[in-house]
Formats: sequence, structure tokens, C-alpha cells
Amino acid sequence: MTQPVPPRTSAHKPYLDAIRATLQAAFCIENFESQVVERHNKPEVEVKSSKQLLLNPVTISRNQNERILIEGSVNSVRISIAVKQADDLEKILCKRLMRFMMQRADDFHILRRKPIPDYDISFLITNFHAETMYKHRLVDFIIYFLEEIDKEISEMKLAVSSRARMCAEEFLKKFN
Amino acid sequence: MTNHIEDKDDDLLTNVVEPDENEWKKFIDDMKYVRALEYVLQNAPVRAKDLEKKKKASHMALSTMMKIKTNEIADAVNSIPAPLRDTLMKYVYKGFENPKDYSSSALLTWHEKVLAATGLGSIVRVLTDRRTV
Repeated sequence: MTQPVPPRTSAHKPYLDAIRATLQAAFCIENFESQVVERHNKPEVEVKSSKQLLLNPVTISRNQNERILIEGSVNSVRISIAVKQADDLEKILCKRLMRFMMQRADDFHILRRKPIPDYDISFLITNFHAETMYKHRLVDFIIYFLEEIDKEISEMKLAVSSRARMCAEEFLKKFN
Repeated sequence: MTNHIEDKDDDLLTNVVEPDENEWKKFIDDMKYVRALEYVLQNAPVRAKDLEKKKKASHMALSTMMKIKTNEIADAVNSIPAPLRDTLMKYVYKGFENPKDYSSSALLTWHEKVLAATGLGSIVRVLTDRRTV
């Protein structure tokens, strides 16, 4: 299942490679009916109905702020991401962006409506997602998401400060 | 695969080993870091119920790993016997949980090298093995 990783110039390649390998290992999920309620089928990682169905949760961290939690189970995987937040502006941008996405979680299929405590965003992938979508594409998507989210937030941060500069310039022109 | 785990002692639940701190210190003082790491891995308290014991052992393993230089990691992984590499991978993931104490970038290098030596199997065993570290 290991496919060649496309070359990446960014500094966090080892981090993403470690995540990719762990996700590939965790994505061995199959259909599993609830052992408690007949004709129900629930993601075991959420309901935690039995200890035997869960895998050991693993964390991969890049530094204190950036980390990812991967919790596996027999029929679902939950991936929680903590995004880098260096200052208050990044914190609020991150919060807003995640809120925007999570409100639309229904259209996003694998997104969880609420993040796990201490993390910014969570994905919940069940066996049904793995059946209707390519597993390796799902892994690629998570990696792509991680790559893009940092870029997105820093771009938004730049946009905010350049807008503020423009506003200040326009405002102060009056006093010339 | 050569790194097959032997489950011979599965019924001996009371058989709890733990690395001896003095022994470990001796290896560290002699600068034999790889030997020290191997010693801790061999005696990892995977069956212990006591979290304190596990914590102490993981501190020994991870602080040894931090002492090994980045360019020596690949050789270190290769010199560790195959069955112990799974335990090593468990400690790598353990270290990720405490990014304050253990440098994540060093652990990422360890992760890469162990993965290169064992393939995805070691990660699958970290995820599924009940004998946690």
C-alpha cells in the first residue's frame, strides 16, 4: 500500500511522513455491527462500547502546539489536529476558520461536528467512507489538509494586517 | 518477516520485568548509548500494571534516545534486534505525547528510521498490542 511520497520542499516533511505511515496503518477498518443494539452500526471510536474494539490511541507531535491524535477502532478512525497558533490573531483566525468548516460538516462527509477537547478540528472516518472513497486518497487528503491549513492561516494573517495598514493610511490622509 | 514476536510467556502474567536504573546508568556512563537502549527495551515493563514503573522505564528509554546523535540513529536501529524494534516504536509514540520533554524533531527521525527497518508492521503492532509501554 505504500506509494511513493511526492517530493515536498517544506520543512515539515518528516512530520507529514510519520502521519502518513500511521494513517495507512490505522485505516484497516471494516464493517462492524453494534454488539449492544441489534441492527445498529455505530463508529466504535465514538461510542467506545467495548475496550476490545479500540486500538491504542497515538499522538504525533511536531512541537508543543502542533500535534495530531489518531484513535483507531475496528470500524472507524478519529483524527484530531491541533494547529499551530503563535499569537492571539492566529488563534482567532483558526477558531473562525474551523467553526466555518464545522458548521458545514454534513457536506464535508468525514468532518466531525465538534473537535476533541484540546484539539482544533477532528475528522471521523468510518468504514462506509473507506468503502465509498479510496483509502489512499483519504490519507492524501488529510496530509493535504495539514499542509494547506498552516498556509491558509498565515495568508489570512497577512491579509488582516495589510488591510489594517490600508485602513490606517486612508484614515490618516485626512490629517495631511 | 523476521521480526515475529514470540508470545511464549503469555500465560505468565505475573512475569513483570523492569529495567534496573543502576545497570542503565552504568551503560550511560560508559557512553554505550545503543547498548543502554537495548537493555531498556529488553526489560521494558510491558506487562506491568503500575503506571509509575512504565513512566520510569519510558523516561530511561527516551532520554537514551535523545542522547544518540541524529546521524547515528540509522545504525542504532539496525543494531537493535528485530523483535525489540516494535518496543522501540512504542517508545517513539510515547515520546510524542510529551513534546515538552522530548524533542519531537529527533523523534521524527527515529520514527522514520524504525519505519524504514520494519515497515508498517511495527506501527500496526503499536496500535493493536495490549502490552503497552
